[in-house]
Amino acid sequence: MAKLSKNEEFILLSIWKLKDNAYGVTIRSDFMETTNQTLHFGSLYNTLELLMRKGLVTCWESPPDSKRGGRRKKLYYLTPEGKKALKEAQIVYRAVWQKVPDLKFERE
Amino acid sequence: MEKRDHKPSRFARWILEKLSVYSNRYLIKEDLEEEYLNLCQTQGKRKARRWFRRQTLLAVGFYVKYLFSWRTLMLKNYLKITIRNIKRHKGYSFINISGLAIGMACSLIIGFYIQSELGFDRYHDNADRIYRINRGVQVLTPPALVPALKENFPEVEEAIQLYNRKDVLVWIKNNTCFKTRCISADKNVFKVFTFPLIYGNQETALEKPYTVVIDEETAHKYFGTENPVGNTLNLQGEHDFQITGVMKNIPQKSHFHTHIFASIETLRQNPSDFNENEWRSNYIHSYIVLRENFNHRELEEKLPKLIEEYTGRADDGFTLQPLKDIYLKSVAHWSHMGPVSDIRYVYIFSAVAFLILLIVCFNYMNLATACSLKRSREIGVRKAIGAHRAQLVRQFFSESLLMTFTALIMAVVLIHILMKPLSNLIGKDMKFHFTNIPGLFLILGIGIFTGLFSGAYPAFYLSAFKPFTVLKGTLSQNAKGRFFRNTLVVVQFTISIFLIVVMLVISNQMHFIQNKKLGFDRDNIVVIPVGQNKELLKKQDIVKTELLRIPGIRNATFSTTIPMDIYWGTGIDYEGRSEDERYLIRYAYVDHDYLDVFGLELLKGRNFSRDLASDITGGGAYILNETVVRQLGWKNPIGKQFRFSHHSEMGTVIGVVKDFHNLPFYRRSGPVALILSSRNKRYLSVKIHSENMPETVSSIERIWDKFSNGWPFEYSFMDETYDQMYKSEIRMNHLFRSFSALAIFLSCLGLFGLASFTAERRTKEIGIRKVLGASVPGIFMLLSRGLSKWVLLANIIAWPAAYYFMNGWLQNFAYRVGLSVWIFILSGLAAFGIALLTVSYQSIKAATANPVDSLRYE
Repeated sequence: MAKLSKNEEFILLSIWKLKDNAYGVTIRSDFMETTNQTLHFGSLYNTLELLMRKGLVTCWESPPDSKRGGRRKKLYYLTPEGKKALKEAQIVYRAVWQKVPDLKFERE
Repeated sequence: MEKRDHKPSRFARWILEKLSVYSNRYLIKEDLEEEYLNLCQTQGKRKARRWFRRQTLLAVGFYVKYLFSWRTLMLKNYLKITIRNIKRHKGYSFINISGLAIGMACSLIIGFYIQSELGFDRYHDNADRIYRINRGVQVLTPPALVPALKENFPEVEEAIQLYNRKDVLVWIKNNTCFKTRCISADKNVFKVFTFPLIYGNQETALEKPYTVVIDEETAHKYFGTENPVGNTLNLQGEHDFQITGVMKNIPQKSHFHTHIFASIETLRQNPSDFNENEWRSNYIHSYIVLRENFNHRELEEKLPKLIEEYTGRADDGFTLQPLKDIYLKSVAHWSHMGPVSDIRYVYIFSAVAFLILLIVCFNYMNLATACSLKRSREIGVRKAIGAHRAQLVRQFFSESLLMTFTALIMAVVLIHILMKPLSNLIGKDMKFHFTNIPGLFLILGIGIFTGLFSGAYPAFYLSAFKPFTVLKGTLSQNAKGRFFRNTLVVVQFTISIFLIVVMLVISNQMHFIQNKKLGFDRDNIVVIPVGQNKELLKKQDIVKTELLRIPGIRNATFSTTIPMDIYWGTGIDYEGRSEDERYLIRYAYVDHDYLDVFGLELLKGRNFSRDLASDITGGGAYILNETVVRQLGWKNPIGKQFRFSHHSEMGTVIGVVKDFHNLPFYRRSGPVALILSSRNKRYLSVKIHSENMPETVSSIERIWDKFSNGWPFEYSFMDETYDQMYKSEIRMNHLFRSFSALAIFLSCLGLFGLASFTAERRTKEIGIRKVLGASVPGIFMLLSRGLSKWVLLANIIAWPAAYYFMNGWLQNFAYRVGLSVWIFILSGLAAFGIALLTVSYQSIKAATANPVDSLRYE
C-alpha cells in the first residue's frame, strides 16, 4: 500500500469532499481554507500527478462550462484504490490518536 | 473595464498556451484564469495581474522540470553510449575533438576581434544625432564652416570645431615635461560629446583662452589624488594654460583619443593662425548635432548653396558622416584624429572564421557518417525495441553537442594560449576575461551552432537506417552517404585551395612591393620627424654640420617629405603656358643633399649648388622629374622659367631626375618638382653606414638633444617606414598564411580519419587481393585513386572564385603583379600533395599488412 504524504492526503480528502466539482481552483481553495496554508498551483499539479501515477485519482475533462466563462475544466475523482487509501489512512490515524492520552492544552 | 478584467496579461497567456503539452494535462490556463478573476474581486486588479505573471513564471519552471523528469533517463543512456564510443574509437574521437577545438578557438578569437571592432562611439548621449563633416577625401574642413552652419540652419542644434594639435610637449610647474596628445576644442565640446567632468563646470570650462581640461589619467599621474583645477601647465614651452576641469578618460571605443582639451579660444587670439572667414584651407574637424527627426541627407543637399553664398563658388565636396560610421566606414578619408579600421576587415575575418568552422563541422559529419557502419547495429537494436526516429535524432544531437562542448572547453584553454600570437596577427591587442558577458554568449553560441550543425546530417542519416537490413547485416556502403562525404571533402579542399591561392597572390604582391626598384634608396636611412620642432628647424645648417662630423654618417637632409610619399600638390606656371592651361603637380621643399641622401639619379642638368646664390634667391631653382618634362613636351628643359602657383616669382629649372616611385603603390606615380628652400621642412633624413648602426643612432640623438629644446627623439628606418605604408597588406599576408595553413591542416585531419576508416573497412578486400597477387603499389593506387578525382574537382571550383576575388584585390594597386597560372597550379598541386601524403600513411599501412592477419578473423 502506497504511503501518503500529508499534502496528498488532504488533497484526496478535498476531492472526496467536493464530489463532482473537484478541479484545480476548488481543490486549492478548499485546501487553503481547511488547513490555513497556501498551496501553489504548481505543487497542486505535482501532487495530483503523483496521485494519478499511483492510481488513486482519475480525471475527466468537462465540456466548456458557461459558468466558467466558457472554459473547460478538469474534474478529478477518487478511484476505488483512492478511497481505500483514505480509509486506511483514517484507520491509522484513529489508531495513533487512540493511544495518546487526551490532549488538554494546559496553559503553562 | 469589466471586459478587460477578463484577460490577464496577453504575454503571460501566450506563454501558457505555448506550454500546452504540459498545460493541457491539467488545464492550467483555465484554472489560473478563474483564480485571477477571484483575485480581481478580492484583492484588486493590480495584485491579481502580478500574481498571474508570477504563476506563469512558475509554470515555465515546472514545465522544464516536467520535460526532464521524462527524458533524463534516456539522456543518461545517450551519454553513457557516447562516452563508450569515444573510449572505443580513441583516435577518431581525438581527431574530432581536437579539430573542433582548434577550429572553434580560431573562430572565437576572430569573434572577439569583431566584437572589439564593433560598437564604437556609441556611448555618447546624442550618438545618433552627431555627424562629422568631411570635405572630399579629407575629414578636415575650413574654420568658417561651423559659424556659417550655426547661423543658417536652425536644425543644427550644436556645432563644434576641434583642432588636432597631435602630440604636444607639456611642462608642469616643477619642470616635469611629457609629451601627450592634445586637441583644441570649442567650449561646447561637452554638449556634443559625452565626456563627463569630474571637476569643473562643463558649461564654462573652455570658455576663456588659455584654459585646458585634462583627463583623469593625466591628472592622476601629475597631480596625484588632489583636485588639479586652478593649477597651470605650459604647452610647447609657449604659453601657460590654466586647468579648469578634469574629465573622465575617453572610453576605449572612441574614434579619437586625447588627454588634453585646450580651448580653441586660444587660437582665436591670433587671427592669422585661426581665421574664421577662411574657406580655402582645411584644418578644423567639424562635428554637428542635428535636432531630432532631421535627416542629415537633407542638410547635406543644402550645403553647396550655402558655400556659394559665402565664397561665390559652389562646392559640393562637403558630406555629413554619422558618428557611428566613422570608425569602420571611413575608408577613403584622410587626416583622422585616431586610428580607424575598415568594415572590410570585419567581413573578411568573419568569412575566414566561418570557413574554418565549416571545415571542422564537415570533419565531424564525415567521420560520424563514415563510422556509421559500426553504429548501425546499435541503431537497429534501438529501433527494434521501439525507439522513435525522433529519439534517435535526439540521441545523435546530444552526442554531437557533448563532443562540441568537450572541444569547447579545450578551445577556451587554447584561446588563452593563442590569444597573444593571434592578436599580433590580427594587429589588435585583444584580451578575454570571463567578465565579458557578450563574449561568453559568443562562446556558447558558437558551441551550440557547431554542435547542431555538425550533428544534423549524422542525426538524420543514421536515424533513417532500416532496422531489418541493419540487423540482417546486409547494409552495405550506400552510395548516397559516400557521395555526401565526397562532396564534403570537395568543399573542404575548395576552401583550402582558395585560401592558398589568396595567400600566394598576396605574398607575391608583397614581394613585388618590397623588391621593386623604386628609383631611390631606402636602406640605411634614418628618418626623424621634426615638423613641430621649431627651434631645431631654425638651425638646419648647424645641425647638418654637426651631424656630418660623426664618422658613421654619410649625409643628411631636411625636406618636406621622403621620396616614397610626396603628397603636397599645387598648380604651376611656366614659360610658354597659355591662359587656360592647368597643370597639377606634387612637390617637396628640399635642401642641397636631398638627391644624394636618397640616391635619386640626375639625368640632365645639375644638382642644387651651395656656390650659386641664384639657387636660393628670387624664384629659386627647380629640379623636375622626367614625367613633368615629358608631359609638358619640353625638348630642353634646363633653364626654363617655372614656378608653383603659390609662389610669386618665376624660378629656373636646373635639372631633371629619373622617375621614381613617389606615391604608395596604390596610386600611379606622377609629376614631381623639388625646390630648394629652407622653409616647410617636416623630416630630417640621415644616411648612415651600415656598420655600428646603434652607435651612430645614439650619436644622432646626442646632437638632437643639443638642439631640440627638450623635444623627444623619435626615429624610424626608412625601409621600416616603407613597410609601414603597407601595414594592412602585410597583416592580410600573415593572416592568410596562417589561416590557409590551418584550413589545409584541418581538412587533412578529417581526411586522415576518413582514410583510416576506409582502410579498416577494406582490410579483408585488401587481404584477398594480396593473396590473389596484387602488388603493394597496386593496392596503394587503389586506395588513393578516389582522392585525386575529388581534389581536382575542388581545384576547378576554387580557381575561378579565387581569381575573381584576388583580381578585385589587386585592383587596389596601380602597380601590381599579374595573376599567373602557376599560382593556381601550384596551390592545386600543393593541396593534392598534402592530401595524398595524408592518406598515404593509411594506404601504405593497409597495403603492406600481412594478409594472414587480416583474413584470419571471422
